[in-house]
Amino acid sequence: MQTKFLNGHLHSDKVINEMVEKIIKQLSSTRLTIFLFVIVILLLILGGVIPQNYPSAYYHYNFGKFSIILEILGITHIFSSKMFLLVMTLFLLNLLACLYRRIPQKIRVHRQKKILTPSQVNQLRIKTHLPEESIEEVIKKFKDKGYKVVVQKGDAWFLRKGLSGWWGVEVVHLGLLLIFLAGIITATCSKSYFFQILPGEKKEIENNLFIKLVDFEIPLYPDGTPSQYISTIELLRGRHLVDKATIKVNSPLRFKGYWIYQSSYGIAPFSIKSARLKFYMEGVTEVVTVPFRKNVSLILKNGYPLEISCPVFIPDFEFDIQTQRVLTRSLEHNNPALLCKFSLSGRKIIRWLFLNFPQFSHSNEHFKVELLSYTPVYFSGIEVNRDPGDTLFIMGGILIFSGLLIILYFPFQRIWIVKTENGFVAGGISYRGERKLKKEFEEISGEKNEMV
Amino acid sequence: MKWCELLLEISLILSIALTFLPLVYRGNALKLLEILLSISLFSAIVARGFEVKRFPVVNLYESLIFLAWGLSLVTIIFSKNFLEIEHILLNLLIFIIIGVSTLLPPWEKAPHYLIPALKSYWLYFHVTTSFLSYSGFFAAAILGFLYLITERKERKKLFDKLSYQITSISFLLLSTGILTGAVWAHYAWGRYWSWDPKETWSLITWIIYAGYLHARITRGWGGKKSAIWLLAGFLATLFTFLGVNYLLPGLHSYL
Repeated sequence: MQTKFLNGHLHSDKVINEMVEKIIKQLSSTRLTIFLFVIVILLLILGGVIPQNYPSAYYHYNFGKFSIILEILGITHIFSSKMFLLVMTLFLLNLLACLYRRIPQKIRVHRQKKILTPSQVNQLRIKTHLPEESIEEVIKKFKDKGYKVVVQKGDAWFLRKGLSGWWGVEVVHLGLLLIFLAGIITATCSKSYFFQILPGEKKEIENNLFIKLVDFEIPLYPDGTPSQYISTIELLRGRHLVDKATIKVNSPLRFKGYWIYQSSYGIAPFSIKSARLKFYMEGVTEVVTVPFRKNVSLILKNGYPLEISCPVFIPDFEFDIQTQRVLTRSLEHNNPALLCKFSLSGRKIIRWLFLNFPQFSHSNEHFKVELLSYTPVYFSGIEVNRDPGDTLFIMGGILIFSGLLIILYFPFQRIWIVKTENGFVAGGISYRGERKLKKEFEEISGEKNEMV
Repeated sequence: MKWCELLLEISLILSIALTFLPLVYRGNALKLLEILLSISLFSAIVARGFEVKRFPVVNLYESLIFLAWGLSLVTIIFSKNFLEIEHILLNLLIFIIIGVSTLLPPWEKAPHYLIPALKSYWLYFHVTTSFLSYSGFFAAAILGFLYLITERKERKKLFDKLSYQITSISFLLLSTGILTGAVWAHYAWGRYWSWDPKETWSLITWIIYAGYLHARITRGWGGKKSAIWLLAGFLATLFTFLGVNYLLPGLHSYL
């Protein structure tokens, strides 16, 4: 009874093993690889031609009825769609199955220390007769070309070089695998924060870690275009300063797994640095620069004492008649208005000054004031990322690069030398370097290669 | 006239000469002319660098000159292996590219400052490797085309072998271009990959050539299929190089 059970168990094991082998064989086929290449290319073309991740209305406007099909199939957000994920998973399985199938064979050849018989050497595609000088001399010539003797048994030698070349393809695929993994880690574990900060402001990133913008500068080229965006920032753990740095576009700050980027910039909607005001009073004109939200006292040329403050700035002024309230239509500086308070010889005047409509402020003939210009305040757009996948990505990239380099420039060459009736014969197998091997044989033997 | 423009004119004349001279003259002087053309184009790039005081491969005008120089390098490196017809077609392509670059409207040629996003050492690696790979793929496509139109067997064999060699090297260059681009994007934008159209199309091109290499190495594809594949790769390369910038919006608003 027990034997029967065992047999049954063994039988089912065998069936499962066969099935696994079959699946792996299917998954590792080049046919599948090429099929997946084509599918990925098609999906990428769709994603590269149809604008991605726009609101539904955009697709409805541009594609009409087809927009529904596009949205159902996930073509409007292809790179995060299930279809793409499925194809990528198949790709990953294909890659893994290929590695699984190839690696045992690779290891076998890596460990190979076999000497070939003269008839086996004779069957090799690349072979040559060696010159009649002493065999030691010939071996030395091969050694000078970078070959190492792996085994020697009597009059038979096995030499090889460029073992790294044997693994080049695997190195490239391992690199790809790491990049896939990095992508998965980035997609699932990375965190990203975005802040619009005004100079002097402080915002919390997470877990009691704060970022404070000390200063933000936009130096300009002679033609007036920005040459760089520079934020001086402080990182604070609670109230304690833990790091201070200047970040620019292309030079982020790295702090304990966080990468802090100068990402964008913009004009602060409700704040300005200073305003230039022009006064007319009893025939005297005077231009004064007033800092925002600060009191300024001065004596005008005609002897009057004047106090000014500008407490409120509205970027796109609108007055709601029903509620009698001042609003802004947008956050853009389309219709800038500045509320100014004056105290002229004890008399208090409050006025809205409009940059685009200077005449609105001219109600009093004795005292006119205009907003000539103002200096805006720029906020800095700072992005903070934490991506545990980035080291893996860099490693993957280095592996792909070095693997490709190895494949191209370090061919794996194996040479067997045996003694025959007509003297010594060398035969070789090359992995991605047949031409080079033939040339080496020609140089050593001085004769043109025989090809079978 | 500025130095860069003068050198371009000289390159233009040299490339015309190299396109038509082989019809009547076959001597070593052609090789010398090819080397001169390459030096002249390289000098034009350097002169442009001095004129604009920055790395001189960031807009269409400059990248076309760089592309032409890349192609001239291919003609010199493979000088021994190439047949006359390959030299003629490659020099014709160089002539067309330089011609287009000189005919560009003034605003494309106008010097401009480097925008902050491009101020990085990664620019040197990313741009040179990418554009050199484009040059290689263009040259490989010419060989693929020659393969398809020629009848002689030994010629077909040569074109097939050479196009494979050039594609392999260009694939390494394109991979390096994409990887350095990804690392740079991480420094500049905070992510390796944003599925920006330029990135997507460079990946398409990369996969097409990866497919070519896989089909060739593991399934033994060669000859006609390979040649057609190279032409498809050429179209993808051309779209990645120009189409994306002129037809699709994205982060890569410079070239």
